[in-house]
Amino acid sequence: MDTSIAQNWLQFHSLSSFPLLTLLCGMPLGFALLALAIPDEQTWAHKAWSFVGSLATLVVALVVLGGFDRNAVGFQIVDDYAWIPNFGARWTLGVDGLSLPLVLLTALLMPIIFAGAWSAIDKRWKEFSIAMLILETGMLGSLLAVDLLSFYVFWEIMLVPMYLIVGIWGGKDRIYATVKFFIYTMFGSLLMLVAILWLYQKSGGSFALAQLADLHLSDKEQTWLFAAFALAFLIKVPVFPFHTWLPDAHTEAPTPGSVVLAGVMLKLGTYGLLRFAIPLFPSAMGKFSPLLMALAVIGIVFGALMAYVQTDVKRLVAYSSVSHLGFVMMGIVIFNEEALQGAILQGVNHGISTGALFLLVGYVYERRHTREIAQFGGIAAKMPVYAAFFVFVTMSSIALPLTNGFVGEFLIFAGSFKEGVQAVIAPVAEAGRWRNTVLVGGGIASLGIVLGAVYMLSMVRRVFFGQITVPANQALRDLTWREKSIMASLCVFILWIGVYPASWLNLSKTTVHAMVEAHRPAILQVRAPLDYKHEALRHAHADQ
Amino acid sequence: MLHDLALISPQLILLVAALFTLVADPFLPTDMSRKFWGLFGAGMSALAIVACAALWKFGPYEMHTPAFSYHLSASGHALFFTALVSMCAMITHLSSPQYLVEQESHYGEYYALLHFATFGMAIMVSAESLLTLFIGLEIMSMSIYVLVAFKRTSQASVEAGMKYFIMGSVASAFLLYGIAFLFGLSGGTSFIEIQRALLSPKPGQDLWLGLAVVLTGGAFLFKMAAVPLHMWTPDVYEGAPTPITGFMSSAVKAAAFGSFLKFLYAGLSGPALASLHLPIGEVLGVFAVLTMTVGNILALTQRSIKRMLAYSAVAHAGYLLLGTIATIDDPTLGGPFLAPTGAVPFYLVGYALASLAGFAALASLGKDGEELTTEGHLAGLSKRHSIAALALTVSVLSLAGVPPTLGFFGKLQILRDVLAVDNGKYLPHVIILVLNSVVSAYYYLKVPVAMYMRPDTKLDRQYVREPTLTWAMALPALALLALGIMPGRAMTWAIRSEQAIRAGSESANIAHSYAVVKGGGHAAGVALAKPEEPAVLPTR
Repeated sequence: MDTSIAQNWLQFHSLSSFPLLTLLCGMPLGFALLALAIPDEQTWAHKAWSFVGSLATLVVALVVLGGFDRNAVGFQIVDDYAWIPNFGARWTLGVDGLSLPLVLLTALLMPIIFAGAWSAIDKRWKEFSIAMLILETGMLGSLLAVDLLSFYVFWEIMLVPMYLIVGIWGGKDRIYATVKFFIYTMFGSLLMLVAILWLYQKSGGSFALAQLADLHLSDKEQTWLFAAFALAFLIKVPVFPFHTWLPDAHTEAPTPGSVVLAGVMLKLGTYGLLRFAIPLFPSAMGKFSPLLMALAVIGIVFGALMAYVQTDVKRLVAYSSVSHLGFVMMGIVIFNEEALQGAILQGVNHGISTGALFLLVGYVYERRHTREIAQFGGIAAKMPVYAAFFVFVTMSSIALPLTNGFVGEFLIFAGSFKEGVQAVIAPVAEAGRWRNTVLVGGGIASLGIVLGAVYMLSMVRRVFFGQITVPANQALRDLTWREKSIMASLCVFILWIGVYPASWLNLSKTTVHAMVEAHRPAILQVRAPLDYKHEALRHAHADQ
Repeated sequence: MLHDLALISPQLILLVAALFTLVADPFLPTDMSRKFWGLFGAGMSALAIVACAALWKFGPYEMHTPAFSYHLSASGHALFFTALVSMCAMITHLSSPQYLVEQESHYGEYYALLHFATFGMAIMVSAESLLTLFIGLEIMSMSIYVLVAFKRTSQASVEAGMKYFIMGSVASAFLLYGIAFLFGLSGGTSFIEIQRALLSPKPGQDLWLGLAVVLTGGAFLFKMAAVPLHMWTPDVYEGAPTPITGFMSSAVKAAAFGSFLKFLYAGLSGPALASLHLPIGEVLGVFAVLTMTVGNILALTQRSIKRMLAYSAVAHAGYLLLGTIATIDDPTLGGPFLAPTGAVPFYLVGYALASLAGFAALASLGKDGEELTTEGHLAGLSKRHSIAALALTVSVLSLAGVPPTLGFFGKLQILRDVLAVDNGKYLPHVIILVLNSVVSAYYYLKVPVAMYMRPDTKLDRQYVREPTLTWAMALPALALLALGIMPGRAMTWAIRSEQAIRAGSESANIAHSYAVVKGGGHAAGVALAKPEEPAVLPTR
């Protein structure tokens, strides 16, 4: 296959005359800077200001959506300026079908997070809104950056506000959790920085993604550089065994922190793999595929089992994230169109459902100041609306058909069985190790879906149904109008994606197709040489 | 003569400021003195910066213009570093008055000494001969010894001054002894004479040259606070008045590295050093790795933030030494010569700004002769003194190398340039640096953790907020962020400062013409930086 066509999806499709994407990621920062001028004690002003800021960002994101051509391959609406001439670093922002769903998710979640924070955050609103807005700039920037140096800068910018959010507004062990989070993430990303610089030297002084993807690297280089990139991203996802920071950070973080962490930041790990690690080092990806597959499957089962034994609802949801992200990872490792579509969509789904779960856990925590499952039981009688929302979101989390979770997981499994099914049809020896790995892995992973239902439903039963045993629960109030409208807006998306996923899938369809065209042969060539020949033959056949 | 004086106008401004302060102070009433000298000092330092900028921009002096018969020069290198140390002095002048009043040690001589120290540094980095370099070093050192011991009533301060004085004198003696050997070998003290004499190695000179390198190198390592000559650092940094600690960790380090680069590349570089077969890169690499690792590990356990930052200063000397490796170009051509990548000067800018902001913030905490700079004292500071807390946070984030601060780009450039040497020969060093950064993040994080996340210690005090001190912490912190977003300009200046050294180095020019004849290339770092070298030999 001609490489220039294959790499098309990393090229610029359309430049923008107006720096729209710079505006998009600069918008929250601008609001944060202006928030400095509002006096500390005017909490209401800060609440309103940050909410307005995130809404304004959402509007810009919708403008971006409006200008987005979903049938085009390559980066669109690109801003490309010289940034640090001595370094050959450029300020390049672009959006394509891979980043757009996550950009929209980020922009959608932020107003919800701010609205949800009105009661969850009870002190130092000025610092909170500034940190949160800077965090949004970091997240949007990481999603939009096409130049590796600016990506890295945004990637690290996310770190400090999150560290402050967990550390200042978090729970009892917040300092331990936040320092652990910071050090873990920084460790991974600094090794990635060395790898970036190595590529930079190789290319003769460029950080541009398309240029770096064209480099010819030896096998050894590919392996090590991929390892350095992947480590940074796997820690962020987090994939077992790099997940240990996550339960701590999630549990200690305040509700808005957990939502943003689960909703967006974890997705940046999977996004980074897809955007950078795989295009830059496809054959190393092929080499690591079995290992990553194994880690993803272990993550799914391990996360589910750990979630099952938790006594703290929030910790349970945190471990469920490990499990859910395992599915996303599986889709990425399989790397065919169905699985990738599923992985991207499941990233969005997880952001919505887990974000909603964290918000729901936060609501009850604000009322009772505990999250122990044993402290509840039967509260559906006192909080019927709350219980209804909770059950609905649970259904999405365990992937009931007609909710968003089902679509994503279905696509991932469809992709993986397509990949592995040859092992059943053909004699096992001929099918090759990779297909067997996929088949066995997929089989175990589907067990994870069952486990997901087990831990979520048993938690719901213990919390909501039966008799009220703890007297304090008698006085629980149901959701306020603000809380209801927040949940309702999230549930709209759960249903929308569940019933009519095409509107979301179409955003990334063309890009995913181009990605698979571009990188699947190189991946397959390493991890399943027989299949590679087979597919190449079929392609040749189709061309005739 | 007049022309020569114009060339050293920045130094003259500093000298005039020092003398004027010394003479005029007795005539000023105390409260006037407290208000006036800080602002005056800052103004004169700013004037020196302006003079540097004017010479840089309008003079033909950008590259290399010797003055006073090859004793001083107004090269791009000299101007860059003079401006850098003057900037450090400016911030220190602003941060000092309130601190000194709180510590009951306010005397006008302090400002005079600060000017003298800056003047000494400016001479040191503009020196074209070893004697001028030594004189500059001594002017600086003498002033700093006194400044360290300036809180006469504090035992720690006096002890620190004494320690620094004794150890510093030994280091100076080493340097002088090394200079003597070089003089013996070359019959001159100016860099150009030394280079000329060393161009054709004489039989039997290796021993003496080796001794000279070891002795002078030791003296520079001492001033940089590099392991194993770092022992003085924690005690001196902790005992000294806080603004002086900031001044030492920024300006003294800058002057030490600036004059080291000049000495290494304008004085020693060339065939003679190559004939020693001394693997300079590897040797510097060992010192660098040792310095950063020891500094960071010792910093981990410190309770006093001032002491912690002292050890972190040691660690940063290690990063800078590693950056120095990247400047070694092409030993095959009879080098080592300077590859003007600008990593070290650029890193120094970020490091100096971060130190200044951090120590200025720490200087604002003291009261009634107490400094109150332990981790416990910082608890809840963000509520009591939000500007100091913010400045200190930006400072430690920059020291840790977190974007978008200038410290990140400094580290990035060092990493990039060191990786470029010999196709990644120093990859292990780079990885060690990165791991060190992770370790350092752990202790740097203690500072924001204490200030923002720990409950207030109920110190229940009102801070005096002199605007001068507030600016002293706010200005460098803002500069860290602004330059962290747009670092391009500062990078260009740093590269030009190193190009100036190369342009002024005679043997490098000769080798350059060799290279042109032979069609040989330079190391990757040079090719990236695209130096514009005037192939003109300086003549006497």
